[in-house]
Amino acid sequence: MSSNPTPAKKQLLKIIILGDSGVGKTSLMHQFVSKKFDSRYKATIGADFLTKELTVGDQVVSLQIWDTAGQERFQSLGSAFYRGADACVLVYDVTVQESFAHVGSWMEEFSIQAGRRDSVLIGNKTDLEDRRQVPTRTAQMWCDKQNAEGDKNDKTEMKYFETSARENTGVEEAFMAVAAAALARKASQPAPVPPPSTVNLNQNQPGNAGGSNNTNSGCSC
Amino acid sequence: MPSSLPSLLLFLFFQRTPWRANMEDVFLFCDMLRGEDISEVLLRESVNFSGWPSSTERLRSVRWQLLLGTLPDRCPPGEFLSYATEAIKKQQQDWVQCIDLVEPFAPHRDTREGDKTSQPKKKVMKFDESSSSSDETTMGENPLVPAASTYYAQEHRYRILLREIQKDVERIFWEFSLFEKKSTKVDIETLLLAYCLLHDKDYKQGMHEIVAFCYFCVYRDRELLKEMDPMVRENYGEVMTFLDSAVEHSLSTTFALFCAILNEGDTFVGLSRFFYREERCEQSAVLVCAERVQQDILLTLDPPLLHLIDSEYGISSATYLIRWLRLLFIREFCFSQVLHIWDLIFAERYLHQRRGRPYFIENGIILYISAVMIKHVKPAILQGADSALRVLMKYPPVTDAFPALLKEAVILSNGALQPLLSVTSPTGVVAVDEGAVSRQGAKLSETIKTLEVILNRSTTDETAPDSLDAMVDCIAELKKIRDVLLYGVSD
Repeated sequence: MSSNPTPAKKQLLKIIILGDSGVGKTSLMHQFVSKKFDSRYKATIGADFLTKELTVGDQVVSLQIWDTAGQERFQSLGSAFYRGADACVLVYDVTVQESFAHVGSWMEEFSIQAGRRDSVLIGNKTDLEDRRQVPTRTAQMWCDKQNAEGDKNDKTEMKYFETSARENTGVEEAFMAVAAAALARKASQPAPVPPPSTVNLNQNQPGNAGGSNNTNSGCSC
Repeated sequence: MPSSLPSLLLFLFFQRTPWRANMEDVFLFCDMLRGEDISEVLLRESVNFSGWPSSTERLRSVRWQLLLGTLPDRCPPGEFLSYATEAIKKQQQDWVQCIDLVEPFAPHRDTREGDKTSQPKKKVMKFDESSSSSDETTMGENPLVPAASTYYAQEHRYRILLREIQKDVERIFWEFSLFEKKSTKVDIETLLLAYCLLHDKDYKQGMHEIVAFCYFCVYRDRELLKEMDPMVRENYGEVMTFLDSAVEHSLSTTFALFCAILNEGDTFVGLSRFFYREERCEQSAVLVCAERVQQDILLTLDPPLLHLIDSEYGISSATYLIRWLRLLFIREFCFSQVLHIWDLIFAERYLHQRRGRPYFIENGIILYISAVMIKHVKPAILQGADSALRVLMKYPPVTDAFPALLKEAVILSNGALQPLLSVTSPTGVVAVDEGAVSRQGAKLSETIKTLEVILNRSTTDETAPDSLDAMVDCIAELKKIRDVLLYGVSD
């Protein structure tokens, strides 16, 4: 029996998966959430998402995992998409050197939009070991370098995992690690201030985005 | 298929299979051949989705070519066939030019169709423009530091493009045997390569499904035409020759459709604006439109729902609308429904062209369809943020409500398509004066008598030569009566 009489409130964590096209982001997400691998996933257009409830320590967590298309770079999903992100999963394909070379720019993409957060780097497709182009040591060193270069006032950490979404190896560990890191960070943050008042849903509400009064469409410039 | 005339007659009247729809196409192009203005009928039928799903067997790729302007929609009497033949020939020539861009790097992708005798000479690659070498090899180039225009640079670009394209084309898993064939995947890759090289643009994810859907439609039309009864082929020889030629060259036709959908300009749909971001714009057009659907149109349609999605749940419009808009709803609806939606989009563009106005997809019907789609799943959205996200990210199947959903979108848009809606809705009451009703009744009575005579004569004489012509006249008469009574067309 727990000594705490009231169960802890369920915590919502938003995780974003980034990486080049075809590295296996969608497969990793489905393997972690549904424990299945399908070789017939369509290319992600824009973004996709799944949720999973899990327990980290004694805390129940609802993990909202956002999968992104491999071409959605340079803020093409807009800043609103990244709002509230708690952690990031960077994925590359161990058989494609170029996908590893782009990991830095994916991390930068995330940092620009969401700020620095704990993250994990995943080298996927280890089942294709005979075609490996990126040695484990190279990726591990890259993570070590990121951790060493981080802002002293902002102790974010990047852990490295190797996975095979096809064979379900390392997937659970990687996602549990990112959930734990995001949860620890969230626990150290002050609780959000509740909204000032209730809202009447029957009342017409103006759009709150800047420039929403402009009913003309097209380019905003 | 019926072989005797009486059975054919009954078949045409009562059969509710692809036949019926194909005959509509035959009649439409018969009118065109006679030099009649078919634009009203074409538009009316494009906006008539009330019959879904029974009317999904129209020859879409041919009709879309008329709506998108890649085939002539109006010609002087008797000139249509020559105009159309010329347009089809031009499409093939354009395709050959595109293949010339692809072929130097991948000779196996030479997918020229039809007459191959007009193949242009292979391109001569030179070290640079000043080189006098006529050798067609890449002699003299430095592959380590290639200039942008050299063979090595172009080949490098080709390889990058192909790699990106192949990643997505390999992941088309549509439930049709067509897409399990290796040759289909090679065709789609070649079409995308040709588009990117011709327009000097990168490949963008999602374009592969747009081009694949065009390819599917052309293939489907060809299959429908193959099933056409030999008797119809015999009696409508000219029309059938045209229809066959319009879908014969699947690659050049698909490419023409794809370019008309993607390209910008007064006569195109301009979907490429949803794939490429203009440098001068801070935000891409697809993000601006997604925001507009959620913030502006939904505000008009259902303010509390907007508040819930936007303020309470904090759902970003980009998360779900980028896919809806870029793929023109391919993943949200079944294919027979997507055909209707694309009919609407292309009809809207066609109306703009006829009125001499430029068409901007970012102001078009697709925004209103999106807003109505959000409203359609309101019960699930009301259940909570998680349920709302699930239903928006993975849109549930729409069945019986589909025609009503599109109708609501057309009304909400309050645009060019709306007047057409009033003449395509059989449920609406059309004001027809009593005199007209009486005249139509008399005509109907005459037509019934004629049909009875044909039927009796055909039962006793299988070879009655003029019966088919008389029957066609009867059908034409019945259609006129229908138009007066159902659509309020003047008699």
